[in-house]
Amino acid sequence: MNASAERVQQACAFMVADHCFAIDADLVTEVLHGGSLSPVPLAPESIVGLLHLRGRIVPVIDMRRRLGFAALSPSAVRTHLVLRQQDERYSLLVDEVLDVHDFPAERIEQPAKAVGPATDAVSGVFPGPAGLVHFLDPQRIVQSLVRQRTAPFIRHGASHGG
Amino acid sequence: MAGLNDNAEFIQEFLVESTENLDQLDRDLIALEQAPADEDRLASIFRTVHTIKGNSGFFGFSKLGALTHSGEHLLGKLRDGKLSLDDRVTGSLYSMVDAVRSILQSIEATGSEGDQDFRDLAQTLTAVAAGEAAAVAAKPKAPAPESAEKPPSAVPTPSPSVVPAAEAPRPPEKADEKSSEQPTAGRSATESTIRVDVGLVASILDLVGELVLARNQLRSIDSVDPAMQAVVQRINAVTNALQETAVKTRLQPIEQVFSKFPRTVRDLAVACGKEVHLVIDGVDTELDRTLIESIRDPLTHLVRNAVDHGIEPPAVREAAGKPRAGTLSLRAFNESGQVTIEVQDDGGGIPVEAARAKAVAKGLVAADVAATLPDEQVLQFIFAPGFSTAAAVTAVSGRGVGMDVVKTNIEAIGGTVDLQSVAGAGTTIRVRVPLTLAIMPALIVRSGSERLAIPQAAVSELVPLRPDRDGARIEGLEGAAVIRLRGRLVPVVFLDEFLGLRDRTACRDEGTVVVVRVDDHEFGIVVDGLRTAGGGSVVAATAEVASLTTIVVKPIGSLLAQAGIYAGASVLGDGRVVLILDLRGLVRAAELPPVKQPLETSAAGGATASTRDEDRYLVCRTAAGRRIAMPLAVVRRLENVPANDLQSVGAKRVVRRGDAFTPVVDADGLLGSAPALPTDTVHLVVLGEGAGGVGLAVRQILDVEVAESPLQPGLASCGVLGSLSLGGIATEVIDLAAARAVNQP
Repeated sequence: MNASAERVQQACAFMVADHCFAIDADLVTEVLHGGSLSPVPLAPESIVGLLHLRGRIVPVIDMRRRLGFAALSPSAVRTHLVLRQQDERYSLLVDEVLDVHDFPAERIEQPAKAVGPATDAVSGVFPGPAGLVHFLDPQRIVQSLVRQRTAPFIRHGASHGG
Repeated sequence: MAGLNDNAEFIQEFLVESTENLDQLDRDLIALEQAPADEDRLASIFRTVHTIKGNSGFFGFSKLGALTHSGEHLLGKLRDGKLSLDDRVTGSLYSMVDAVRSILQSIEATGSEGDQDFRDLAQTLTAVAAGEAAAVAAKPKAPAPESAEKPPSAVPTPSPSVVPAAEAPRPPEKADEKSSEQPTAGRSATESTIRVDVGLVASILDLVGELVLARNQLRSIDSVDPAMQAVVQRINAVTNALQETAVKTRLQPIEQVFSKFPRTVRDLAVACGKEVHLVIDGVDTELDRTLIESIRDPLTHLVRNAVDHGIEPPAVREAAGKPRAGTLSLRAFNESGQVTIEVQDDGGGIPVEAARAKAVAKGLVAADVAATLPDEQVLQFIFAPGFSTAAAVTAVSGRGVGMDVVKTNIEAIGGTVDLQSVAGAGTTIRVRVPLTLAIMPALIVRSGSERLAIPQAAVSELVPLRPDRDGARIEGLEGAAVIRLRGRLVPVVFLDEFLGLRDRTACRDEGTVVVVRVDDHEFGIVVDGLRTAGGGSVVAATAEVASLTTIVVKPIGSLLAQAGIYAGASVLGDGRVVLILDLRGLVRAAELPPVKQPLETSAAGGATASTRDEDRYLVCRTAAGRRIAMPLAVVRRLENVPANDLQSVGAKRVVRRGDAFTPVVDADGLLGSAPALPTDTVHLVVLGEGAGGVGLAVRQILDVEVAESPLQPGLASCGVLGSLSLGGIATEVIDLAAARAVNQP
């Protein structure tokens, strides 16, 4: 491999509703399975609760809701991808964490124009062997949450992401 | 590269140390002014300046070096008795301290000494040293050190004419041999303390919190093994002690704030032409470091006020039979888990009558009410925004930051401000702040399936709801519920409903009202019950102490903090996360009205209960934001209707209730502004038959208020009968005839 010649982006890949996403691996502090959540009344819809993580209180963003996919039943065991950004921690609740990969930076392409919750945080697309890998901009994941008002109970259908 | 980093680190250390030394220098100089013969003090000042000089040479800060060299030279003359302390000497030394501080600030901000030129000051220092030395030499009888008090001719900066041309400043490169022999020992504090990064302390506290939880789990494991029990017992004890100790690492002595005040007071007194004797007590009292920063500005303001407005000029004091010099005393001490700071002056006190007149002039209180108010209540007006009794705005105080800001800032950290003033005898202001914000006592309440924490500092009382007996019960209309509390009407918020935990239904008459005070607001939070941190339910709502828990406050991150409803979160003994309510945020989110002047309500007392019905109005806000009211007597009921349920019949909109149709009219439309019906839920005020039985659509139902003024028909406009004062705010009263007209064919 001539990896040394190529600029690589190290990213942690994960699955949400059968789609593959990736996020800068440097931001990921840990991966947890399960864990009980405390609900937060009046929080933005995508924030499904608070996770108690060794003395820290970490808000949990359900990536299915955030990206506009159908919600899973609360009993489904999912995985926390805990990120650290500017001294703040938060957890992305995802279906499955895959692995940390080196992606050749040149082959990550600009995404199409953002049109909805599924695409507004996507900063790049990589054509992987098993399908597209969507790179997420952590800041944009959070920014739209701040704007998002308290949940009206409207869910996007599963077809939205397909 | 490593070397460069090291240097930066050393410089940082140098800056921190020098800044501390400068504070010490300020204190020493003031002490020296009072006791010019104190050789130890002089030696300490000399050492401090010498240390800064030495370090600045080491780092190549030439301006700093030159300046401190001149200062050291002057101090050397003083120490050797060739010069006596007077205003010129102290004035130039103070100028030097200021200049050194400004250079240090420049180094901290930009890494360089800055563009300011301090050569004049260095020259002045040298001139003062040389000039005075010559004068002393000419007069063999040196003036006694006590003479420091007087000369009227003395000016801080000497005119250039006194500088003998021959005495040019010595080049700073030439080290003072004598001074280098001076031992630099004597700072015991630096030997027994270490500097630790704040982040490290925070992470230690986090880990200790984690340990506490693990300990709790350990204790819940049943074990019959006595050895195991003994170990658990020991871990328990050690954990408790560790937690207590770890919390203390965040505490710092209040001296950090107080240390600035001798200088502040001295400069102010000089500027105001006053004589002030400052007494400081309790500098060892400890406080969380974040709070130390928060109280710095409010306290400085109080001290400035005391010198500028409180203490009278010497002539006035003498005329009043007081000593010429006023006494300003600063005291800090621990009191029942809080820190109390007293700022006391023996000045003229606050002129109560002036305050009374000002309050009336500012429209804070009606003239007839003001006349009957006790003095203590009049003094509380001092905390109203923009209130000042000082006749003239002086350069020192009165710069727009008033007592209201002091109060707001102190309350923002969970503290209180009390004021006592005796005319002619002085003013005492007592500031109480919690020891720390990281840990606070809180009331854990239950609402639906949730538990939430309410900061105890804001809780004034707990009122159980007892519909069956004579106890408190919820009254008022939906959306404007109140309870009666000793004749006052206190608005209440149903926590479950507010948080969207469940629709409020039958449980309206059960539970407990937690009455809280925050800023100008007093309101009740209706909760299902009170809980101890352990999870046990408190049966009697009067068990104030039972459900009070000390919780460790943890940040919840900007994502949730922006909602403004939660101040943080905490982990209870059982490991569950509990959110801490931000009461100010609650006031904003629930749009609670501020309390009418407390005096007014207490003076009104029983009057509230006996208010005639026709004087009571329902106050609403329209979609367009207008504040409107209608007599409560004509209101039949209040309804929340989903916008989808509105039906069109011809040009009208109606809502169906059983077989009857209620015509709906948008309040804004009635008032002649553009209708802007909300898209989700419509709040309807359904009026009685006398008003055409129409449903008036508004954005929000605010409150039931008692009219405070007669109706002013002169302010009538389309659909408006006139205006009157409700809840202290001018409110439009809708014209019922216009509403009736809507329903006419």
